[in-house]
Amino acid sequence: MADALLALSGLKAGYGDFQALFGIDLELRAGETLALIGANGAGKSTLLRAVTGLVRCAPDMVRFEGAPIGGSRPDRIAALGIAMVPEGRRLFRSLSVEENLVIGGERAPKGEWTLQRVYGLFPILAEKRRSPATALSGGQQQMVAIGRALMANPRLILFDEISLGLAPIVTKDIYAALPAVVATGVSVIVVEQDVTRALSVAQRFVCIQEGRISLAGRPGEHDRAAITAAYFGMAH
Amino acid sequence: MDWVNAIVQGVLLGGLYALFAAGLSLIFGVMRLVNIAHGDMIVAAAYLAMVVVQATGLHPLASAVLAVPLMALFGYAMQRLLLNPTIGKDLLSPLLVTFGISIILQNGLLAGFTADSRRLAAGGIETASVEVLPGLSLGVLPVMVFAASVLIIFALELVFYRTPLGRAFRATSDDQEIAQLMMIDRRHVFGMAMALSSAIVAIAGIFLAIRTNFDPSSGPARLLFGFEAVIIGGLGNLWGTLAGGIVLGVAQAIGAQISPGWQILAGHLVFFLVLAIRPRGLFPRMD
Repeated sequence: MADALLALSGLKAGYGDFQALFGIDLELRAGETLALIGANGAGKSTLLRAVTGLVRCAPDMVRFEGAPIGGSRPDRIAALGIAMVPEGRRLFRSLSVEENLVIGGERAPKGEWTLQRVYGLFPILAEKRRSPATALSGGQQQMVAIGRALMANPRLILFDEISLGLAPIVTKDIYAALPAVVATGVSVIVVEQDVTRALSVAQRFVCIQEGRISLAGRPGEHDRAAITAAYFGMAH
Repeated sequence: MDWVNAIVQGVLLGGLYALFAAGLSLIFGVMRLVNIAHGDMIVAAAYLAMVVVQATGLHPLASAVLAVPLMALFGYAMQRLLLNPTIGKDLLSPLLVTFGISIILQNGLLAGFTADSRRLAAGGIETASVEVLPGLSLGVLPVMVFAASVLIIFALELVFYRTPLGRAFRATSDDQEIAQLMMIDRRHVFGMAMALSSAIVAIAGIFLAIRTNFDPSSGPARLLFGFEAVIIGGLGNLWGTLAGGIVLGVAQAIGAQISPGWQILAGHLVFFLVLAIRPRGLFPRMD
């Protein structure tokens, strides 16, 4: 427990009367990449929103470096070093590409990730730096969203459905950039509906089904049938 | 020449309306809030300028040195203490709070300064004028007001598009939730927006106090003119707001030229016409 970067214990969260998570226990060590898989509506995004403070929960349900952060203000949690690449990218549409990147880092501590390094990782963004963020293609927008999160030099990055709505070839390009991100020592949680894709980049995975963990382990430890059953909730 | 004169005076009057409107436009742009108390804040700033002048003997224009920071402070505190607790739930609650602030300001001013109408004497600049062409003379004060409003809108554009605070304003306006993930404290950003708006309100209040008579119930009409300028110009566009103020000012001046009774009505009619033909205003920048 003590050496976990992020620890969820009995995490319950939801929206109003609707409860999406029913007691999730999870630990993530520094430098580790975890895949969070599960069907649509399983509660994956709610989990990420609870970690980032966008959904309320009790303080000790989410611990970061041992400190209780559940239900803290999102800007405070972000300042601790947790960044998110949100589902649907959600770039600031009145900001240029470069401004979207700059705003990700201007309140954060300086570190390895600078504007120049993000442009090194995604050269196309340097070309389009003056364009409005929404004038870019879907894949390029996803690069901006990833760059924006990296600019904060976070300890933990949460990727929420980064392949959603993108062509397979574009998804491949985006995933090709992940090793360079992980190499900096940052911890990563990848949320994906594309199980194969998610398992290919992760050291561990957790499968959620209807708000509860249905399976956890290392990729390869369980066969496809077990994962499919945990994913869809079918008997096997 | 009468008509040219009317139009020129109308353009200059538009500068004052743009000054009323700039702060309103800023607040709506950043937090989608229509500040019903905006006009009453302008009138409160006029009284504040009067008190500063009486207490310090400063020239009314110089009273800005105190009135601007005091109003900015008031705006920041008002946002943090009264408005922020209501944001995020729905659009109606903060609107109702500003309505309440409007009533409190009006009655507070009434209690403190009586219903007598006041005016701030500024040593003759309010009546001074320069004849630029035979039959066409420009008032010194209206020209100053117009210049001030152009300068203020220029400065606001710089803040919005060239500074980290402006980036935070636009990001928060685009997507509040994600802006928070950028470590932006929206309560502070909203406070700063209201402080900036209130600083402009202070300048508008000083010019109002020098230019015309005012009393505690003068606020709602200023709100209306400001609101019309914002809508005519198009939401989210500060230069559009200046254009909207000018359209409104010219319409009123032409109306007054036809018959004195037509002055205000002509302004409202043009507003109505723009709303009917281009509901998003002349130069909209915001969805």
